[in-house]
Amino acid sequence: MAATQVTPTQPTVVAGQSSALTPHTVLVCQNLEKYYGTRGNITKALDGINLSVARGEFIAIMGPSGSGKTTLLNCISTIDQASAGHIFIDDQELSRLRGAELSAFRRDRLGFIFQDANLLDSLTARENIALSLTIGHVRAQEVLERVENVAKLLQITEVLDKFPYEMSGGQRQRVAAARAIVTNPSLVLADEPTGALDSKNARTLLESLENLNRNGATIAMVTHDSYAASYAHRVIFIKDGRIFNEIVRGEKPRKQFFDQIMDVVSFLGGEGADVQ
Amino acid sequence: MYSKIALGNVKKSLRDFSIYFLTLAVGVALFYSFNSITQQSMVLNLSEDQRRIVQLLSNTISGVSVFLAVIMGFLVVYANQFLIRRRKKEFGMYQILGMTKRNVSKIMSIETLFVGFLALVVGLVAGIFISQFMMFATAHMFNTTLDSFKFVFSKAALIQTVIYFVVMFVVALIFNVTTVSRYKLIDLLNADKVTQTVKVRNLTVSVLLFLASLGIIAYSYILLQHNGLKQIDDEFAMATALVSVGTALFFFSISGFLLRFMQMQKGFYYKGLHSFILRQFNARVNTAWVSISLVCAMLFVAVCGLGTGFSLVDSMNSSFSKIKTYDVSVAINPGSERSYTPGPADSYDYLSVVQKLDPEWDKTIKNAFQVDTYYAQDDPTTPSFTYSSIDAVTGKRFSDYFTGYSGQEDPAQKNVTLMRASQYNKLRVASGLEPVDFGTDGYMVWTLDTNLTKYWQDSLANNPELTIEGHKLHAVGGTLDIAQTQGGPALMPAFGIVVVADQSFPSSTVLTNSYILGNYQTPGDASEAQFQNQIKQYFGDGAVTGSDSDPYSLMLVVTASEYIQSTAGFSGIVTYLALYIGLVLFIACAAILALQQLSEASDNARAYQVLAELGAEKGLASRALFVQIGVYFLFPLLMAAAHATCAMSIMVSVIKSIGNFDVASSIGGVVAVVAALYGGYFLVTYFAARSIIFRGAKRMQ
Repeated sequence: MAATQVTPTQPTVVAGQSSALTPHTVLVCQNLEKYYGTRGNITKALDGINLSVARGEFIAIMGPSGSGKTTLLNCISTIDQASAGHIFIDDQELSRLRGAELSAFRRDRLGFIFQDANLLDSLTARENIALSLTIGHVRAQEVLERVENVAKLLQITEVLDKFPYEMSGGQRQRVAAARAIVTNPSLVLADEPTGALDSKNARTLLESLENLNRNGATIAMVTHDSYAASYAHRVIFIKDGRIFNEIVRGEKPRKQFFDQIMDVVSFLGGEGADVQ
Repeated sequence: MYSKIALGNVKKSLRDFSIYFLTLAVGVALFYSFNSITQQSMVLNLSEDQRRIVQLLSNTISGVSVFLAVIMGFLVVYANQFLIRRRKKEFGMYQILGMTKRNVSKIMSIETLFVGFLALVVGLVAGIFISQFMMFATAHMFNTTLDSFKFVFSKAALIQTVIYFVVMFVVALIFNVTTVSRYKLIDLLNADKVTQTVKVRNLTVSVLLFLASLGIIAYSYILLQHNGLKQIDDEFAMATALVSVGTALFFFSISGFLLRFMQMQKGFYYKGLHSFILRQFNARVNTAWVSISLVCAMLFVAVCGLGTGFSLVDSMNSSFSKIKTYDVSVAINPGSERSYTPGPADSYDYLSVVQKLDPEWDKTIKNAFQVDTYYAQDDPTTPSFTYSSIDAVTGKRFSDYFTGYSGQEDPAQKNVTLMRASQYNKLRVASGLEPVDFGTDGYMVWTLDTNLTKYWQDSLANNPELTIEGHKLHAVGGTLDIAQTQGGPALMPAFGIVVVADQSFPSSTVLTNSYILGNYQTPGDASEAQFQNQIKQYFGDGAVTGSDSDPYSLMLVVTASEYIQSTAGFSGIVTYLALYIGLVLFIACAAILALQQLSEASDNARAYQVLAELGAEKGLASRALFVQIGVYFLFPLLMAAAHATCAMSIMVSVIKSIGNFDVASSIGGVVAVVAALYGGYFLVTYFAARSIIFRGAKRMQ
């Protein structure tokens, strides 16, 4: 059964679901390619990726080390530039953005969550979250209200006046999540958000992300943890820079979706084992 | 192979080494140029007296150099510790790859010596260059000129400089090696993974402490003003202790206070990167307040040194032309009979006494004349005209103005010095002024520009009528002559002299001093040399003591050139020392602040990357960095400047009672050095920090 399911498929554009918002595409990648190295010794990190994410969707990108999943996220997040192909976010092509435009775009449209929370050590949680708003010239009164609201949503109200070193890893990661979504970005990008957390904290964080998604956030998460991926609506598998497979949760219970993901993962792992 | 790695490292991290290198090179250059002063003076046309002064100056500079070498030594060690901290991971990596600690130490030693050697060479070249210019300054200081440009090189200064710095490097090396071998491998490798903990202080306590610190500093200023730098007593010690405690408290609490204050302005705090800047500053100062306080103390000494140095250079030169009014001055203390027994103010002819002592007098000197000063006195011990006599008429109080006084008795009970109008008019004519018509009962006051000038200005504002021994006197000729009339180096009315019309001059007086002033028959160096011989031959090398039968007890002979040379020499010593100490301390302070900020920058790189990810534009982030470093440089400087202003304002009045203090050039000089040196260090630090930070965050832009 696994063999029939796990065959390379052409990626399909899947409309958003379970969201109150009108189905609308937030992110489109067309024939995305990224090369590393010099002439004659080129590594293709991305090799013709086509992908689209609808508003209100929660997708996970999985793949073994070196498959290109982080490169893909870096290109989408404007941290890195693709060698060929196009990326559109809200119908804005990224490669056309320069300097201050790029900063403004990152500020207004994107939210980031990293493996290590990447909070500023010298600022309290409240100030950390507020910073992404104050950079965008939001009025102080509104800043504080929005910080309170997002803190309630992520259940971090009680740590708002603490410094990062006074919080648990899970709390830190939820503060980072709050910082990422407080600006109401078009797309939240999460890079291994549970990577540094124990299983209990990881579950709390994933539930938080699910909750944020239910409240309208569009999330793209890179992970190699099948459990984390099972919280998504759709999982995209990448191998050698290409989209290898894609599975959709649909109305399935999460447990069943998790098993399905595990099948693909073990297939990918199994193929690697054959080589050895 | 190790030297190859070491050189590669230096090349790779030029930016990290830049501040270190700059400081060493400037230090070496200053050391060399100040220590080469003897050689510089060799090519100048200096008199024997001046040579002795230069020798004294160069000995003093050598002594001070030891002290400054110790400070520089600390700085070198500190800078090396900073460089090691920055490179912990690299040293760990060497050990992972199988190098022994010994080999790592070897690499580091080669680096230290290489950078040190380079700085030494560059600094010496710069020093030799600078000393050529300093020669002109030295010539200016001694009021001589440089006949032609001569290249000056001092082997002694070179050797001295090299020895000092080699010792410094060796000490630094020992510290470096022990530091590296003390670290555990795991700490080296994990150096940049450690989560920063933030030292937070209770904000309310910070605010209270801040206000307390301001109070303490203000109180210490008041104490110091009251003490007036007149004596080193308990009050002075108290003021010093309080200002130290206050300053330390200030830096302990300032960041907390600022934070609390700004947080209350929500519209300001939650705007742009303001919260970030304030928090970063808070975190930094909370851990570094001790070193900032020390830097502030050193800056205070540096600012005072520079201020004093720059003011003296100019004031001495500006008063030279006035002293030149008379080529020769003789000051005479009268014999005991004339100075103790009151009598009428008749002139004893001291000029003929002088002519008798020096038979060649008239060959060299022309237009010699005598002036006398008196006290009005009823009997040998009772003054009949004192400052309190004046105060009784004017309602002012002499003691309010006479701040330089520390004796027991009331200063207002002192005699006021008097002079006859006819003699004063001779001085006026010699100074190129019109004589004043005193009539039968006129008076005027002649004074130097000192801190007592204000007393005379206030007292004489309404031209009051004065009474001396029953004679009513009224003001004539503008009442007050402030340093317009010249008396030469011997006759300087620092307290002011009341000039009285001859007809109304008191009849019961004692003679305090007589002066003989004259000029050379033919102005120039030949006459000067000739008269100097006469001084040696007839006037006991400048000072003649009289016996009981003589009409004088002491006679001092001085020429204007001689006086200018010795005062210029003295002011030269003070100026050079003040500038030397000031400059070295200044760069030491700037370097410490710079190094602290750079070591911060590598930790900050991550924070700035986060800001870039959040979408802060590069301009916004650069401005935040600029403010952060700027404030860090500015605060200790402002505090030091405040302390220095308080101390110097008192010093100015002390110096003013003996001479002139040019406040404008003092401030100008300090500001110029601050702008050039301190500003330079700030900019180098800013650009180095920016490149460290944006190197990490580059891919985000």
